[in-house]
Amino acid sequence: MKYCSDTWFILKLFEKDIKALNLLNEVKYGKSSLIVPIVVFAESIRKLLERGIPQTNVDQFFNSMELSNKINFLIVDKNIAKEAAKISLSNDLSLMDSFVAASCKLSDSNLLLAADSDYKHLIKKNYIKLHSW
Amino acid sequence: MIHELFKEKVKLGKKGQITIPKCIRDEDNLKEDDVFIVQHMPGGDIILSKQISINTPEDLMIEAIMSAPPFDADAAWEEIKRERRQDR
Repeated sequence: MKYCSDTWFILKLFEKDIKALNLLNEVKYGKSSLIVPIVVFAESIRKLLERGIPQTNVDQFFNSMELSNKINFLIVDKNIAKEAAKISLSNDLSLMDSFVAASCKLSDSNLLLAADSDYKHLIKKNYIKLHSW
Repeated sequence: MIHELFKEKVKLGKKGQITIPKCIRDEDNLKEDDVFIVQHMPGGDIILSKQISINTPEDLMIEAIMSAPPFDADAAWEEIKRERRQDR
């Protein structure tokens, strides 16, 4: 299974949510892989620091993520940017939601780890599939 | 309890095997199939060291999470949703 992470999944990990930790273990043992859009990386760092997670924990988490060969950061390229603009306009989505959805779609991820009803139009159109709990 | 500078002669066996003295095995709780690193030093000394288990990057991620203070993901996510909606 190839997952794409929205910021929600990173926040759930820091909540020590069992399902999120189990999913990370799936990745650790090679049963799944994880894509982290670079916009999610930025938004997660900001929110974690803003809400009191120490810099050392945030650094260790993301530095280790960078070393994992089962987790990949997805840099925004021209294709993703164009796709995000298109779906933002046609689905009344924020650019951030659109970047995450476009990253999920263009990286051929099977499921987006998110809990956001704002994606409902895209789910209806079968553009992305959501995995949340 | 053996002291820090414990030394004992050991003989090299037929197939190049040596035996770690029992008192060291007991002291350090060494078991069959434990892995060691053999280092050959420039002066001819041979150093045997126990391999320390290496954490995977995912283990280190989990360690960073588990040592962090309590975090309310739902409240943080609600804030993010509001911030994203302002961008529409």
